[in-house]
Amino acid sequence: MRRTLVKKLIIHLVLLTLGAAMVLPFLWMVSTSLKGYHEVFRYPPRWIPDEPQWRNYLEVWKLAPFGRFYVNSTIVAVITTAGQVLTGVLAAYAFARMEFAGRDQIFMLFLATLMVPTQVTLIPTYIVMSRMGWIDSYKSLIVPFLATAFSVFLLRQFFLTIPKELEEASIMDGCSKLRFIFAVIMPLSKPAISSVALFGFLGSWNSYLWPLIVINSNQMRTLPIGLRYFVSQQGGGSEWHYLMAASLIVMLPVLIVFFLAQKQFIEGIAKSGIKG
Amino acid sequence: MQDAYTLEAKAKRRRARKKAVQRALVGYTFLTPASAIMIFFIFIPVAMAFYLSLFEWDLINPMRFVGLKNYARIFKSQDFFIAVRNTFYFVGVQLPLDFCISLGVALLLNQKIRGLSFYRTVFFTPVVTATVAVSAVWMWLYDPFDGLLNYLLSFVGLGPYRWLNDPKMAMLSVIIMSVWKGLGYNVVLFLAGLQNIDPSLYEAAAIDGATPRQQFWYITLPQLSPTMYFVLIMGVINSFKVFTQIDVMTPGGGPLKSTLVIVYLIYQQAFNSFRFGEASALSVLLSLFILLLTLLQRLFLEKRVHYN
Amino acid sequence: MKKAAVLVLALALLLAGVSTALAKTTITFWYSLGGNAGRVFQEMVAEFNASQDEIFVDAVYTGGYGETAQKVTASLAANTLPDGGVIPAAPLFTGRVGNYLIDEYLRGPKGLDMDDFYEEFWNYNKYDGCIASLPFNNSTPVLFYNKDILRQAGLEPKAPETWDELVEMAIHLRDWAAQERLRNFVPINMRNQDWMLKGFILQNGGQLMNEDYSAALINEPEAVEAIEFWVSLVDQGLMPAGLHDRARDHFIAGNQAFLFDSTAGIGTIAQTVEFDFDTAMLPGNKQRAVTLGGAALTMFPSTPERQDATWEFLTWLLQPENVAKWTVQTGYVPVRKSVLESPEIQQLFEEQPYYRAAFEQLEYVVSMEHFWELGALDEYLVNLISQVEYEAQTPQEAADELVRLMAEEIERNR
Repeated sequence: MRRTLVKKLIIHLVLLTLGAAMVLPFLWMVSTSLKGYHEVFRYPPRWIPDEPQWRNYLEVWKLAPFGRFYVNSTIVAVITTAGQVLTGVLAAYAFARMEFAGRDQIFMLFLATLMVPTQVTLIPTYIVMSRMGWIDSYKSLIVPFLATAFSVFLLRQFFLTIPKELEEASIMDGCSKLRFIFAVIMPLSKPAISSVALFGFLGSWNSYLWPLIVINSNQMRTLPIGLRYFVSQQGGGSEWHYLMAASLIVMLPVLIVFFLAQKQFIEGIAKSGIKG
Repeated sequence: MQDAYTLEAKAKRRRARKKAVQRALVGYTFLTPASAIMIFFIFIPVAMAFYLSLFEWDLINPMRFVGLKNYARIFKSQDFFIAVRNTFYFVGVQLPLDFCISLGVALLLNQKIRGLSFYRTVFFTPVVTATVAVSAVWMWLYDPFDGLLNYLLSFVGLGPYRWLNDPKMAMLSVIIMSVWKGLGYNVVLFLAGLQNIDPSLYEAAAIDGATPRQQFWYITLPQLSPTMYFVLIMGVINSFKVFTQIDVMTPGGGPLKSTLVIVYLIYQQAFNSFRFGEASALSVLLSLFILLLTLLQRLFLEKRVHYN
Repeated sequence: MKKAAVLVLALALLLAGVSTALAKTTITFWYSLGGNAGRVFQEMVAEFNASQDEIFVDAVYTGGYGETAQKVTASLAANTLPDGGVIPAAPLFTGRVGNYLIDEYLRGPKGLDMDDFYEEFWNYNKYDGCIASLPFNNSTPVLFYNKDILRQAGLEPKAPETWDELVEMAIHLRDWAAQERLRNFVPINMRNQDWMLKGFILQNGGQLMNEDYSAALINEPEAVEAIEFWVSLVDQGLMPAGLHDRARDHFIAGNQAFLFDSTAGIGTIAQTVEFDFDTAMLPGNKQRAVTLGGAALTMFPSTPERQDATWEFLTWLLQPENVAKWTVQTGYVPVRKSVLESPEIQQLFEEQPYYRAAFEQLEYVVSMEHFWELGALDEYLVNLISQVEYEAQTPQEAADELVRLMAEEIERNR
């Protein structure tokens, strides 16, 4: 009995230490974000600032258009996600429930795109965008990502598990395929669709390299790129308190959503791994 | 004179063909939106990349055909070998570290202790935060003059180190931050895999007199191998694509180019030096390499994976 | 019936008259000026727009030099260029693609009094021997020094004039800081290190490129000596290796005695520091010398009407009183000789004496034309500095490699 107790104690100790290492940087970030310019450099450094400078957050909001960055990121992520769901549902339904020539071969082609690393499509797509004048606009951030093989794959696997009888019933009813999809299939596929939406939204929200190259003006920047230029704007130097405040501003919404929806988040990830 | 039977058969076949064509049309229509995106933004660009790699182009002046010269130039360039070396260094250290630590944590968490979801959240939080923001925070931690890390290390008599500004430490600093950020993801995957193992396997083994150690090697690991395989493949692919934290923490490729990785080289060549042909050639090489690695992994490792 | 027709005709004529009066030419103008300079520029644009009815300038901020360069490149490819702008490395976007509109207009009836501008500034705006942009916001490197620290260390609060003096003072500071156990103190640091090194090379009598910009001359003895001097600063613990992007902040924080930085930073530094500081010309060795930095006024091809309008705006910006105003409010060096003597500038010196050195240094400016491989040269210089500071290569080795890389680059483009 005691051996198990000791063992559990040790386990907790190890986990707490590692956990502390996970949390420490965040705490330090918040601490610095509330300090005044000179207090940041005080030696030895203190955890709790003398007077919390909440106005740092206001300053940061003024120094760079973070509100604008949020708007941009949101618009892009929402439209992209909606697109991925729509195109994914249509394509997945075709692959799962319809029979036509070349169906399986085309599905293989879709899967093949999963093997293509983003780097190889980066430059040609950029060139096309540049020639079409789409640089520095929402179009370049949204259109290339309106469909992904990943979402088609996920949805198809799910659709295959929906009983065929439902469909046969609908044909009896004279229901058009589209209406059937929207009225019956989609509500039934909530878990799969929310997984697709989650991955799609996160993917778009955190996207870095692509927005970095297709967006040039500050007004059109998405959150990650806005922050990155804020970092270099501040010279990566003395204004750490602003930089930490800005980092928190960027992290906050996703953190809040994460804490509220932890279970779905983590379970979604876990399931994706088991399938292998 | 054809008899009624063959006439009817022919008509049937005609109707069947008509139906097949109709079905195909409907099917293709449903596939059109997704396919259009795939064609325009994946298949065509891939072809373009191969094509572009045979030219010299800066986007402004006309394209110049140079055949395989770009590839020759790449293999003669010092930057390429530096980038390859750095990328392998990154993958070679980050992947094992991440793998082992996250596996260890998952094993610990699987010991039926209290606060499981609390710990899981703690480990997973860095994963959901934006890499850019995390990079900024770590830049501050790593600051050679006033960073917290140097301060903490001074208590044990170590340092001060120049971290991101030291050619010998810069890449290691990036690796440490990357492991910190990513390991929670694998913790979740491993934990899910562990919790999926049929407990009756353990019971049977215990009855047979197997020690915990034996149970670990002969039950846990094999049962976990599909997850380990998945983690490995995803880990390799993602590690080779590392870019964001390097661009934020060590823009320009770091001191003495010690954090110049392949993706960063591609980015530099295309968007700083405007050498789109050479950058395309590089990206083609990278993609082929990742493809090769994945295939090799499939070939050699998949047979060791124990599927139920 | 007739009355109605006359009324309609009168109304139509009236409308036509009004609309021609309202017919303005609108030009889009990009500018890569941030912070204080950006604000001043916006004010000047508003003033121009209010002062006349024919032209409306729509000024758009396009970010810093790097971002603007990328944006212009993308626009060149997509053919969506603005009518004009304040563009970094402008000749590479105009002359290099055959756009010499500026040269044409200069020779035209509404040209500028070119003699009032410094010859070096015209040079800086040339590509292939022809003028491809107009000087506007130029800067030179300048030496900032913290007088309080110098006094505390027992030194005269004045700037060194030669390399030897610089080293002498720095060594004294280094030893003083060690004695006082000062944490984080650094005697010297330099921002924009490639720019500063160019200055050092010239100060030692060396050269950067040959006459027709077809070869780099940085591996010649005088230039290599300058690089060796640079490395000696690191070796003697007078300057930290590889921390140049922190130079300005460290100076502002009061932990650094000497800062080599751009005159364009005077405004920011003056507003933020809490100690007594001044600026001085860069110390010389065999001579004093600095190279120019900054962007330029550009014109891109458009309709003749809009091009004329753009030229109007550009010449307005370069009128003496506007150049004076621009200089006084931003700290960029005056591009006109006459402005240097003007009462506004004299008053500026009175109120903010730390601008004096930058302007006095104008007589030591050496400038290069823009050439295709200029960007590559800067990049290679940054690498060279990195290599020698971290002792991965000797100055001669690094210089030889740079010359070789430049030769390859030039070969590739010709």
